Parts: sequence; C-alpha cells; structure tokens
Amino acid sequence: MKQAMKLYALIKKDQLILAFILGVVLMGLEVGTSLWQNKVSYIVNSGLLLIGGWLLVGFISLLMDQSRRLDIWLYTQKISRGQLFIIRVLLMVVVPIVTGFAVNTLILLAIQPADLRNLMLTSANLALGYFFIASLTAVIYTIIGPNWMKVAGLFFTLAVLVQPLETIASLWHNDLLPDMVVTLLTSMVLLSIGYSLSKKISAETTDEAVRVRYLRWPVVIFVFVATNLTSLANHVGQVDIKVVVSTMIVPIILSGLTFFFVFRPKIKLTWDK
Amino acid sequence: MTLVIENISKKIQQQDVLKNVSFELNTGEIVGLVGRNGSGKTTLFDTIAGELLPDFGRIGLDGLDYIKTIRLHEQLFYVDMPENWLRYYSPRKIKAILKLAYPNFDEQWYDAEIKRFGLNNSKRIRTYSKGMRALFMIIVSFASRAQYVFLDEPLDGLDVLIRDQVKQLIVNQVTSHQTTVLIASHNLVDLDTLVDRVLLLKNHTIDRTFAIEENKNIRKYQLAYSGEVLPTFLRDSGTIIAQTGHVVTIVFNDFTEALGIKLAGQDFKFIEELPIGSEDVFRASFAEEAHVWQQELEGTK
Repeated sequence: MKQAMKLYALIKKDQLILAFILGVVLMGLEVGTSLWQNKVSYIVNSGLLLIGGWLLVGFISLLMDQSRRLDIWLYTQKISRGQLFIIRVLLMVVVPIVTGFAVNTLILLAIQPADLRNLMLTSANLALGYFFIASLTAVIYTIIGPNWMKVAGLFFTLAVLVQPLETIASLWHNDLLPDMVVTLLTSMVLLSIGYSLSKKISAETTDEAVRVRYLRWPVVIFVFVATNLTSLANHVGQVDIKVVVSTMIVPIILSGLTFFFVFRPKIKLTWDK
Repeated sequence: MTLVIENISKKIQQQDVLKNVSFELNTGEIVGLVGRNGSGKTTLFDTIAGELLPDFGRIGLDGLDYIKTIRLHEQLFYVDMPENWLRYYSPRKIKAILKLAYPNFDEQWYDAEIKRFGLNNSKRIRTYSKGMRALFMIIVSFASRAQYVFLDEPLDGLDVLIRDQVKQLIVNQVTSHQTTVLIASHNLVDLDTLVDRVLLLKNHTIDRTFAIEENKNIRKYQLAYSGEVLPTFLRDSGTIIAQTGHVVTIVFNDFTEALGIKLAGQDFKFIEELPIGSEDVFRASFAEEAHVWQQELEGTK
C-alpha cells in the first residue's frame, strides 16, 4: 500500500502541486478581499476555498487519468483496484479537506472571533459537506464510464439532491452536530460502495455509460424518480392528476436519454422496402 | 519459472473474444502471437497483464494466482499501444516513475540506449515520431528488467535499419537476462527470425502452437500445371498464394502421401518445394476463409 501510494503520488506530483497552488491562490484572494473590505470574519471562508480549488483540480486530474489511460496501466502494477481507490480518496479528498480545515482553524484561532465555537462548527460542517460531495463524486466516477458522462452525472445528481437534502436537514431542526454525524456516516457509506464497486471495474468498460452491469437499470430508474420528485417538489400549488402528468415529461425525456446511452439500442432506420 | 495461462475466457459487449485460452510461457523464450485482425491478441495481452478482468480462467505464476497476487505484478511489463500514459511524459520522468514501479529497473542500460538511439531525454514521448515511440517502448520494456515482457506490434513503424537493431536488442536482452517475451505481430516475416515458437489465435482460442521446423505437415510448393485448367484437387486441399499463368505457389495445410503422389503425376510440368515461414502457416490456417474470399472475388468478376 505504501509503495502504491508513493508511485501514484510521484506520477501525480505536478497535478497535485497545481491543485494545491490553485487552492492557495483562491485562499489568498479571499483573505486579501476580506482584509481590504474590513470584513475579518469572512477570512474563515479562505480555508474552505482552499479545499474547493484543490478538490476541483483533483477531479479534473482524475478525469485526465482516464483519458491518458493511466488508470488502465495502474491495474497492471503492484496496486490493486481497491488500493487505487483508497489512495485517490486519501490524496484527492482527505488531504485537501484536512489541510483546508486546519488552515481555517488556524485562522480562526489567530483572529479569535467572539463566536469562535460556532464558527468552528460551521467550518467543520462545510468541510464535511465537501467530503459528502467528494464521496458522491467518487461513486459516480467509479460507476460511469466516459468522462463527459461522469461530469454530467455529477451535475445531475447534485442538482436533484439539493431539495431532498434540504428536507432531510430540516428534519434535524438545523442541529449542527447530528447533521455532521449523518453527513459523515453517509459519506463513509458512499465511499464503501465506491470501494467495493472499484474492485469490479474492468478496463473494457471505459466507454460504457454504466460500467457495472447490474447497475444499468437502477441508474435509469434513479434518473426518472429523482427528476420526477424534483419536479413535483418544485411545483407550487395543489397537486392534481394534470400536475402529476405534466411533471413527468422531463423525467421521461431524461430517463429515455439515459436509457439510450446506457443500453445503446440499435435503431435501424431504412427507406428500403 | 513459468507463466501459466489456463482456460482464460473473456466476453466484451456480450461477444466472445477469448474462449478457453491456454498456454505456457517458459523462461528465456521468445513467443510470437499471431491471429487475424480483431482476433483478440490485444485483449489477451490486456487480460494477462491485469487491465481486463477475465470472466473465467486463471493466470498462474510461481504457483500463485497472478491477478490476485499483486506483488507478482512487477514481474511483467506491458504497456498498451499506441495510446498510453507514457506519451505525456519525458524519458527522464518516466525513468523516475518506473524505478519505483520496477525494483530492478536498469537505469544505466536505459540511459545508454536512449543515448545510443538519439532519443531526446527531456521531450515528451508524444512529440516523437511513430518509429521513435515504438523504439522507446521497447527500450523501456526491457529496462524494467521484468521477467515477462509483452510487446504489441513492436516493430510497427520502424525503418529497416532500426528494425534490425531492435531485433538484435530483443535477442540480446533475452540471452543475457533470460527474459520471456511475448510478441503480437502481423509482420510474420520478422517474427520468423525472432521467435522460438508461434501461438496462433483463431476462433477465440489458441488454435495451434508451432515452431517452423516442427511443421512437417505444412508444405509449400511452386508448380506449373500442364492442362488448360488448374487441377481441382489443388484448390480443395491447399491455399493458392500466387498464380501467374500456369505457375502456382500453393501451401498445403495437411500434406499427405496421397497428395504427394498426385503432384508427381502427369498433370504437372514442374514442381519445387519451397521453405515455409510463419506467413505460410498463417495462410494455411485460414485456408477456408481465404478460399471463400477467393470464390467471392471470382464471382464478382
């Protein structure tokens, strides 16, 4: 595992440094802006910007791994598929989040705001939010094949999850600590799913929309159900049969498109008799 | 030490690509892998190397399961061709990476060969010409000092002079380090001068393993027939490689005594046995398909 980590870190060294630099630049901009505008409390966001920038470049770097066929070569090395997944989570998710959170904590301790405890909790909650999104991304990255579909899948999932997540969060009466525990546990479950799926991934499925065969229908159904629920949740006013039917149009189109990409049905168009 | 491939099967998009493929690779052997386009040569390489997960079968090394025992992976070097991650790095950076991946990586030899062939050490591989890239892949493969080196079309894109040097390099490496090399190639003439034996991939499996000198049943003849039309038994029992007027070059896949007697008959003015190569064995192995095509071509004329 140690050797695998060294190898991956060496190959990705330049990109990891770039990701860190981008995070630091964003952090510097936030600190500078806060000081310039005399809004010292905004400085606490700077560590979170560091995480955001780092995670973003990390994700792009992961997409490059696939397009440059580095993933595939690593399967031939002294790294198991599961180890590769763990190493990526550690280097591309855990390190940025821990570093960003540590920077935030140091800044908070340095400026000693009046509501230090609350700000620390908010900062931890936001860092966990990043961890949740990163875990979700890890699962999507593992399941979906082509890079553009990974990106589209991530945006789609985040878009349809906003409403339900807000509803779930409100059930906890905005109590930060239970919220954080739930977020952490959910993220860990997602990462465990990603880990076990990553061990089943074979290189020939890179161009397939859903790389794990038994997840093809669940993905199509997820697109339909999630879009439909989001459409219904966004509807203002009484829900009757007309509303139910009209809110089904977009889900049918989206799940139809997903079905087309996942199963690639062969449609033969011909004018020949 | 023997790499044992046992009953490997692999389906891609519900289609059989490999079906019960079995063979062994022994220490210090150079083995050729031939087959028609799309026959599954690259899939076989990818599966043995661990890129693809086999649906069935086992790859054994030192009595252990090669796929599951990841510490064994440093004993095999294989890089996909032509698209691979190496293209985005310079030889210098690749050396640093491979030194970590392969504990026996021969840094001195690598540097010396890079210099000998005039490859730019600081330029990314993708800026190289096709031939230079192929050459670099061979250098890097052997510098790994892995026990097993898999090369997919290694001589593709190399000019004749470089090709000769590369062939020499492969033989030297095998001789001095007892490396086992598996080479997939369509260039059967080059393979003949390089390999100890050839594996022929046909109908998704290893159809036959042969060494040229062992193939007593396969014969190649040049002959001139005396009648107006080609004797029908020739077309039925052999593959015609070339025909100019009444002079025919033919390969017999399964040469029998009865066939020899027929060739010695009055139908032929002239007959000479020619030395056979892998290309002839390849043609003979795909005689039926070639015959169907020939008939189709004649039908369209």
